[in-house]
Amino acid sequence: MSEKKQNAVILAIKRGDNKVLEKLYNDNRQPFLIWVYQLYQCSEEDAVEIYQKAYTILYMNVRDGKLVELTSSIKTYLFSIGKNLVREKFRSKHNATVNLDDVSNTTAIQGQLDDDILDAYQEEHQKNIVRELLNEIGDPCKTLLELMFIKGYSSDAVVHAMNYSDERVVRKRKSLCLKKLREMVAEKNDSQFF
Amino acid sequence: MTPQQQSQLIEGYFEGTLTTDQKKQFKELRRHDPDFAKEVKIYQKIERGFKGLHLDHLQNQMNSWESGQKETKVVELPARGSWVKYISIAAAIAIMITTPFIYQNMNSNPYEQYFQASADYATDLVSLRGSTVSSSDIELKNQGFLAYQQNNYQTAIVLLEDYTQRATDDYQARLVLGIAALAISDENAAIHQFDNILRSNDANTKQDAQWFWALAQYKAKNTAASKKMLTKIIASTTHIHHQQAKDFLNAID
Repeated sequence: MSEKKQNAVILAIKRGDNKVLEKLYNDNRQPFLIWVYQLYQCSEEDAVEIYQKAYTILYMNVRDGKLVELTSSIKTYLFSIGKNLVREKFRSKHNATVNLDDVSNTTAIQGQLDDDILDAYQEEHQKNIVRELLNEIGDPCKTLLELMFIKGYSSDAVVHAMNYSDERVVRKRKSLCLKKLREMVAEKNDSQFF
Repeated sequence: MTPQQQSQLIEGYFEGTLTTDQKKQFKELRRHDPDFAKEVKIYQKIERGFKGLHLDHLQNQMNSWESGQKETKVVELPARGSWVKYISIAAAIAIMITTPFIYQNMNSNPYEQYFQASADYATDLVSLRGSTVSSSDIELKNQGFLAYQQNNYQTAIVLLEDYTQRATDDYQARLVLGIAALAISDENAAIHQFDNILRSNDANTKQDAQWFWALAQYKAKNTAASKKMLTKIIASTTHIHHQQAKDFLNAID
């Protein structure tokens, strides 16, 4: 895939293009799993778990703007994330065929492979509060925020999904809805939330 | 600053769309205005909650894609010792399957006709240049070469990139790495590796590097650079790719 096409994929991920996301997942899954098997002879379940985590990190790095342009292929980037995850997971496993400490994480993208970032978003309490807030705020804010922040729709996609006239309306509505959410949180004064 | 402007500033901060001046303004306000700082904290928590839910959504999507994959089982590879036998069988089958297609496409694209990621370039499985490379690196190189021989170029690239970061003067590994990159159409990465070899003047790999450099430049649509190198190769009658270069130049002219 050319550099131009690779970066078009990055933009599509940023836009939340579901077809591209699914294709990216399916196209890389088989080679990735074979690669993990070859090197570490782990179970299929473990290999899929590592693949999904690598894919999630790639996705989040794009969405958070840490990855805006690729200098290698997207596949190489995904495999590099996977390599570090495998290294972590099987650090103590003796039957690894390659000395895992020597499969070092020396590439330039290492700074972007912070998989702890995923843990930071897994706090159930924060998720529950946002769920509650969405239920309380009701429509149209609930639908708009769910589409944009949970399903990852772009402003353009929200225009079509919610029949707004243009993206400016979406942005303005989003801003108002977020402000309302903040006010609701401040009113609740939930000590656990802070 | 109006409350609305403050809201825009906070949202812009989390969306990563603030200008340098706006970032500065944001930091100042956060430091000196406790109400603003509290707003930021609330937004941060909401954003994290949303991201958590967004990740849950992604996980559900992956699980649904995964269920569509269940019929496609990954072939478990045999024990390492017997790989060679299986690789040979697989390679033979692959040749039988692909030969008609290769033949059909022979005249469609000069590059496709002349580029060949031959397994011969990755046959040095035991020896290693230099004494500073550890045994685990040798294993890494071997695994990379095996992956290359299996046409598993992506794996070969990951392993050999790692390896050549330490074994910087193993130009054979760099050559294989470059050819693997070319095989997956990553011309820029390929050219980078071939450039490295050409700068070194390593006698064992130089002529191959020149040939693949010319092919990579052609693939990257740098036809003038490609032709210049091909002319240089043709000028040397003892060059191992002399005839190929001649034919390729004729084909692209």
